Amino acid sequence: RLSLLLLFGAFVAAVEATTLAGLQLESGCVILGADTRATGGGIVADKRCLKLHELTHDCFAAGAGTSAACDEVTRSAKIELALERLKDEQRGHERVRPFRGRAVAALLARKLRRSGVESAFLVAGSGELLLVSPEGSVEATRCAAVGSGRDPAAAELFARYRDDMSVEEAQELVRDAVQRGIREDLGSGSSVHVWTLPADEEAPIERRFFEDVGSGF
Amino acid sequence: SSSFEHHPKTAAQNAANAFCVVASGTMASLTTASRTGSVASGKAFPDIDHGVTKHPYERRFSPYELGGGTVVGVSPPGANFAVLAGDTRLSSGYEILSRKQSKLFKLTSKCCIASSGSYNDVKQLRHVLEMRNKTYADRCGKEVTTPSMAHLLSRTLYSRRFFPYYAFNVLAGVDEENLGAVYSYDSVGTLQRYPYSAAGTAAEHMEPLLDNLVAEKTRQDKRETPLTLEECKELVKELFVTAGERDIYTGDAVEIAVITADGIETEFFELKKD
Repeated sequence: RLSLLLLFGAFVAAVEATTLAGLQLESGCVILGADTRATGGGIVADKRCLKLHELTHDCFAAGAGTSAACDEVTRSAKIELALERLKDEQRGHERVRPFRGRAVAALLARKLRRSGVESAFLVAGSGELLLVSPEGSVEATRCAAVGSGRDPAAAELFARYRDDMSVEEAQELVRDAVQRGIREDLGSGSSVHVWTLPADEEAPIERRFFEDVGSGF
Repeated sequence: SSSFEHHPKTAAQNAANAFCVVASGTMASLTTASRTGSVASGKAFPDIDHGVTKHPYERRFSPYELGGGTVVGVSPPGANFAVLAGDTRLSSGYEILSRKQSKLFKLTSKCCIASSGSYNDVKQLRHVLEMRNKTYADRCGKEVTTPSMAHLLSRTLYSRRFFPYYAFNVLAGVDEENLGAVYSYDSVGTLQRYPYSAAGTAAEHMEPLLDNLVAEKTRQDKRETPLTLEECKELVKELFVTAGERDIYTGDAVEIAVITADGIETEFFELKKD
């Protein structure tokens, strides 16, 4: 069974202690999942950290890398986007231009290129899933897995993806993909956050949290 | 295109290349001269130059690989038992190699060794000790006693003082008076008999708990009765649950061995798999 996923899957060379998984459905719905473990060497520093960052009301990103670096890059991007939106209103444009996912990803990529930070991001915006690599390149994909747990996560995504999945099924698939990363990879652990960008542009970002999937008894 | 110069090498340089230990600076002498290396010069990969000819470089091979995991031994003062436990996870980097790899090994009917670290060294250490025990038993008609085995392990570790066994050991058993004994080691053979010991990646997480709960050094309210066997086993389970929360290399399951004069019993306790 040849799935479109095989043509569009893409991974990142960065090996950070995390598992991020992303899926874009035909309808334009984008789902990102992330684990919640932050490590300092071999020690778990945070068991409930949030790796998904909201950039605008209809665009969010998942970051892999040093948590301070990811937080800072997304925070400054969020501030710049908010400032641009305010300037738009000030200039009296007829409508405030929404930011396309590619523009947000390009903004993150530019920050990565200029700062030398070794972080990778998955960006969900305007119905697209984009992969920003640490070197600063942007790639639009349908399916992506990032981090040290990307191999088990990608295996799960590839095994169960179907082109006619519903949003709920896709959310469960992303959760299961991150859960595989949590169980197979030592750098990932604890719980899963799954955020969904709905196909309908007016609908808000849907956030779900699956607690403690690493027990697996 | 760049060419890999074919140059008559000494045997030492050949050996260095074969095992990639150190490439000496004399390789720089190969970089110069003509680039007219032809097919007849017999180079294996004409278009690939791994930087070998460009400048002196050094490659290092690390003989150790951290397999992760933690082991702990507890025998309260005056107890007639010893509890020895180790998690069952074997890992390499961020990957899990096995969720069911035992760190415990029975040496005699009265003592067990638990080791974490590089599993190849652990296996070799077990083999050496087992062989010494079998030879002794064959000659003397009885097994090595626990204190003697503890000292044997110490001497065995020191015999490799300058290329150590990458094994972090705890040896537990019952001694000649049927009192429980726990011995702690570093990787070159320092030996100490103590009521408890933890070794491995989460040892720093466990030792303070053991100081508090077994030796009661960091608390004012002391226990009236000594720790029983069941309390020790519960304590060990809680230690591993705690360690599994904060140490990424510890998890999956704990193998707990209880050693008394009557023998050794083992049980498993499941931990988180993440």
